[in-house]
Amino acid sequence: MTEPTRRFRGLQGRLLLIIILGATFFSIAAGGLAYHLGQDQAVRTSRATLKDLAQAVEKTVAIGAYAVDPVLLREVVDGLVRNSLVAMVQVQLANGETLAQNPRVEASSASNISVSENMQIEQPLVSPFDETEQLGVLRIYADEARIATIAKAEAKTLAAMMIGQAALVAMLLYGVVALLVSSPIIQLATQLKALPPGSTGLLDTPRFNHNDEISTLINVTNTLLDSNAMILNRERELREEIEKMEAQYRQIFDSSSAGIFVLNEKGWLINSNPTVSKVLGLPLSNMRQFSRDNFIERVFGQPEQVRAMIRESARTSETVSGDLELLQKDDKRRWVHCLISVHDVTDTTASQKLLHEGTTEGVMYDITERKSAETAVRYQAEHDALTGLKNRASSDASIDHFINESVANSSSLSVFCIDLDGFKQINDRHGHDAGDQVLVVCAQRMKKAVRRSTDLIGRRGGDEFIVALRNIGPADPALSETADALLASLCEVIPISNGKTVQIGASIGIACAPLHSIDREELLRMADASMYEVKRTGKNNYAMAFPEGQ
Amino acid sequence: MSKGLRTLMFSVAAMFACQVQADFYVVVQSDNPQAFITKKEAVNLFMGRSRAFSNGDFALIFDLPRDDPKRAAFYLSLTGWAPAKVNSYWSRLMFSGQSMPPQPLPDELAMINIVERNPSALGWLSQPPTNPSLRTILVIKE
Repeated sequence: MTEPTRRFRGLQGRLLLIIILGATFFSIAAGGLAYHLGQDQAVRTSRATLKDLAQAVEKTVAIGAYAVDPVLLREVVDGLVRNSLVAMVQVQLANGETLAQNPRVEASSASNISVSENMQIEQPLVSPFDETEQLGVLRIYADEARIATIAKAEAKTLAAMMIGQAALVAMLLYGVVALLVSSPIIQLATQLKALPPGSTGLLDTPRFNHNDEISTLINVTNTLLDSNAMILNRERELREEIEKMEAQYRQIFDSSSAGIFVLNEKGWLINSNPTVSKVLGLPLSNMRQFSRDNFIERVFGQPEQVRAMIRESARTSETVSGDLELLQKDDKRRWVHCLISVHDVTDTTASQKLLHEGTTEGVMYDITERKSAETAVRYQAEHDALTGLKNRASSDASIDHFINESVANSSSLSVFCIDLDGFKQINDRHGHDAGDQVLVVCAQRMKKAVRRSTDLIGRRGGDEFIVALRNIGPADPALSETADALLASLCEVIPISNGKTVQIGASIGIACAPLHSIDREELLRMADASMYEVKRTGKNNYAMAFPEGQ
Repeated sequence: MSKGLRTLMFSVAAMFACQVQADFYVVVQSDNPQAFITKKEAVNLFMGRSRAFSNGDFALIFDLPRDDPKRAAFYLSLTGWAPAKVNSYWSRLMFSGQSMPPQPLPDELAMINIVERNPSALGWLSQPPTNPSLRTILVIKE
């Protein structure tokens, strides 16, 4: 308010400006009007005075005129002229003769003598004895300059009064408004501006504003400030609480031994904790690339399995768990146990919707070690410790599986029962170690001869082995080729320890499904029977079982 | 003038006064060429406006004393003014010294004697002049 440029910006300044302008405008208008009126009034008053003068002396002048008494008339005229308003007085008879005049000059030659009709009084003189007889006229000329001076003075006084009144009213108005309205409001505004947010500053009610709207305004403002401060405090406390909780959750999230990840509906990674990158064996910086890439495709060995789990979770609204193999990066296979839950979009409220729409939450534990142990156990259970071939039980299970497969696919399966010839003698002559060596070598050679990894090579016990060839029927050339290759490789010389070598033979009985049977035991029995038939008829050969019923 | 005549005249005057019928007679010497005057001319002459007859001859105007009741009646008949007003009128004019009221005579008999002797004289009487040397030039009805 102290700077000149800002003087009229504030409430009070503007009020002052408006009042000054209004008062000035009113003063000019009223002053002008008053001046005009004053002048008019002065002229009228002067005229009335002159008229009164004329009427006062009328009788005497009429007598003077009647009696044609210039001395009497001059006496009266001189008396009239002494009045300051009068410039000239003249008594003229009806015949034009001037009986008396003062001053004795021509009316037109005197500057201050008004010749206008307005400023001269003409009093007709009638005979005192006969009202119908016109004797002449008494003329009083007003002193124009004098009247103008008086009029001006009067007008000035009136205008000054008007202006003074306007100024007084304006000052009073300004003072009252400033005291009662603008200054309390300015004070309130200043106090409010100075208050820091959230303060409970109690604003004071100005001295003159108790029980009026200003005090109401201040009371309401105080109430608002208080409630604002209360709300702010509560929010602050809530925020602190939330921050604390958030920190705790973040701590849990970050330090959890479980990898936690959140995916959007496209399978992109929204968030994950450091454990995920540890589990995946990827540096933290690499995790960022998944925010624009399909996490499922890039991380898991069988993405389809993961997607199936997600679908399942979405359908049942429950957490689905399973062991998943990770995408293999090197020779080491790695496994995670994964819990997956999908947020049901329709189930959530609007605010949560934004946060969770179509998101998938997953928790993963590294179970590679457990999985490795499991695999080892299963391997031990399913394989022959010496040769590494599948053991009897495992082989039976495989053959069951193959039979089912061939029935389903209308394909053929060929089963070879192989018995080594001359193994017992080697065992007896060279010892069990040599026998074991022979068995290991034989196993390797059979693997080589069979070639296809999808085919089965198992050890049924002792020197008996089994081979199952998938998709190969009795008439298939590959059948005899494989049998020949097996025989040939098994008959080759086998080096044993001490630089010695041994040689064995093999008898192979063959049965086919579904030609011979689709029952495993029957199939194996028939293959066995053929094998014994070979042994009986000369060994070192292979023979196909006869079809059922022959 | 004998005392008896004066008494008689007074009684006659009283009789006339009582009679309500009280006309006034403006008179001049019978030699005066003025045969008659109008009432207005009479006012002009008696009220000091005019000092001459219509032929231009100077007129010497006479009046009765101020306190004479007949004078009041005469002026009331002539101008319609009360005596106080007439006196005030003359006071204003006398103030300037320019005009003088008509010269007052002690009574009507003196009036008759002056008019009889002076051809310029003009006077008034409350009864018609019996003297042949006087001529009435205006009768003012009351």
